[in-house]
Amino acid sequence: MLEATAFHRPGGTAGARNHVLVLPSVVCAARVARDVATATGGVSIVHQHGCSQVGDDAVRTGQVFEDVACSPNVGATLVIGLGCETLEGHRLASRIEQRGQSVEFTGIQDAGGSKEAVATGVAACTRLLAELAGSERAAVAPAKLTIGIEAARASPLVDALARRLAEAGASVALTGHAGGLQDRWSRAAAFSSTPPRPYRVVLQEAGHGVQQHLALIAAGVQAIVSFPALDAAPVGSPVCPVLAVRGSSPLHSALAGDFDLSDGDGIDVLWRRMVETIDGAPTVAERLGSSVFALERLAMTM
Amino acid sequence: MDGLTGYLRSDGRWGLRNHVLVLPLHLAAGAAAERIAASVDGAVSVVHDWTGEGSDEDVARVGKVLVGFAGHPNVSATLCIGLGEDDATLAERARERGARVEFLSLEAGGGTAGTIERGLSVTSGLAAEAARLQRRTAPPSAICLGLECGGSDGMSGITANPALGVASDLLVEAGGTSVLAETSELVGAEHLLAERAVSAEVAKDIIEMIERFERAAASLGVDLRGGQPGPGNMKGGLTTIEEKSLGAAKKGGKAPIQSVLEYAEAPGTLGLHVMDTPGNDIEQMVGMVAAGCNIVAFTTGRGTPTGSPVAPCLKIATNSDVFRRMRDDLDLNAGEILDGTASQLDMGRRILAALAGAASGLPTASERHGNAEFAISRVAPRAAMPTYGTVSRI
Repeated sequence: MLEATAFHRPGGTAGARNHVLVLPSVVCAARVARDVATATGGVSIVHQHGCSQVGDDAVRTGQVFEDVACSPNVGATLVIGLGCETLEGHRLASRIEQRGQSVEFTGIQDAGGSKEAVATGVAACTRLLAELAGSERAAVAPAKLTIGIEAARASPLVDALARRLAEAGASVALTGHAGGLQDRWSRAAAFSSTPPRPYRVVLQEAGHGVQQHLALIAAGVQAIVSFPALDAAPVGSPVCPVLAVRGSSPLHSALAGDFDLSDGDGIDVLWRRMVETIDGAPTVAERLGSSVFALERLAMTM
Repeated sequence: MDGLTGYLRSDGRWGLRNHVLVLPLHLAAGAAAERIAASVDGAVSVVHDWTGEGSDEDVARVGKVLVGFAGHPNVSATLCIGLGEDDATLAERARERGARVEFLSLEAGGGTAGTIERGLSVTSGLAAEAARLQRRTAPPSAICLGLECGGSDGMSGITANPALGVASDLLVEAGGTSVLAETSELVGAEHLLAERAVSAEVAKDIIEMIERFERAAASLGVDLRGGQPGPGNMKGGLTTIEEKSLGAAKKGGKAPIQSVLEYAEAPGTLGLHVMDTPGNDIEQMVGMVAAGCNIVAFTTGRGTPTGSPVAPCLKIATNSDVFRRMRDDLDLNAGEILDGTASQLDMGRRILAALAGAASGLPTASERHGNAEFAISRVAPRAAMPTYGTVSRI
């Protein structure tokens, strides 16, 4: 049984969070985006991309920005552009809008400078927050939920969680580059119900470690259950709660306070914590303000 | 450069600011670093996504940047925060160069909360030490100037860039150091730069730097346009990368070119140097600052608010229209050259005077707005486009 609540979106999806995302289309707009987010209660992303990019590298970066803005956890997005960047902010905003998201756009050069853009952005973000103010959590059918599993290490909880999600009728997106993961996953698929929902997907070439969070967010997950490699630290993500499961290693033991639970807690505890997280309980990463946007780039910056 | 002041550091370099830097050496330390810096007056931090994993070339490149920032002369002391004790080697490299560097790891600190607690106490101590340091009169050789243009337009190569070239020449004549960079924006101007090299060897290095970039771009099999010149450049009247380059190269004035520097490599002598960096504003500025540039002059036609976490960045408009429209983000208006109210020489002198003022403590527009952009520059691209974000249904 998976009984949880979520924010129901007009397009039929449901979010575990109700963020207004303040998304800079380029690193040069990160400062203004952050100032707007801080002043209003939106969430912003700090990243170093969006300019002097070419070919597939530019295309994919824009795609990831769009996907993050279209996460079910995002109720509305304010794009902040500079005005001369490669990934033009106003185009990004229209692409997000075409996917049915509520969106506003502020350009720094259009607005007449940083101070003016912050003022314009704060007004826009306030409007978007007001739009979302009426929305309340309501019971959500498991079929509307997709849970991300970042399986960077082996844990008995990975299969147990996948199995239980499948039985409950929820979808799962899985990343990981441990050898054989996909075979194991194929076996897990044997107990799935009829496609397309619930479905199980394996994201391939999703990057390394924390870069996989963006691939999971792109797949539309509401929450990520992270099993960081034994020599890796847990970190949070901008629009998606990340529940981190500790394994047995000296590093993981030393960083115990940065994890939400451990392998040893078992599937029942993990399940309960996952449901609480979907219901709105902040994860450790959310409480610590850990929000990493790690995008694997395809080419050097020009 | 009368009235120039700075902080003389133990290695003989001059600082033009006196920040305490809280520097994450790993992305997992970012949240702790940010929290600590936000809680201590005079402390700054940077945000990045580096995990220590990458090609050997990138590990070396990023290591140079982090060490360069940790030991930067504009920083009186740095608290480096790593993931594990292995990261201490980067802090140690900065310390070997005479910098005041403390190190904590998340692993030793028992995670983020414990590291914040320890880091706050360490950083408060470093800030108190920094507050006791005094500015003193500095010679022109104290200045290591990074030359940059961003959001260029058709006026950049006529107004602000040549005027900045005058300022750079005056600085070099007075005994200072200046760094011209942005390899992708020197393509097509390499023969002019090579003519000014101090030796045949340096001339060869300049040509090779450009050829290396052209080969790398060709190996991607993509059209540079869109990346260089960018959409804003084109709206501003620039048509080709060669046209952009001929204007961009003017920032370096007419001085002899002493050497070609790798990304984030410190100049070995006074005078004008060329550094191999991307044209991307932030990656370029990070490379120049990591190399020891303690102030940046940045010309812009479209209006770019960018700044550095540790170095003042002076913004020079290329036209009066953008200067009026984005008055609060820009420091000087070289559009006056086009308006007929100033010559390139006048404007060059005014830029140098403004640089001396900013160097001596006057906050620049980007500092007032808190612009402190940072980026990890990588050179090793992936071989192929992955099936990222696509799903294979089972």
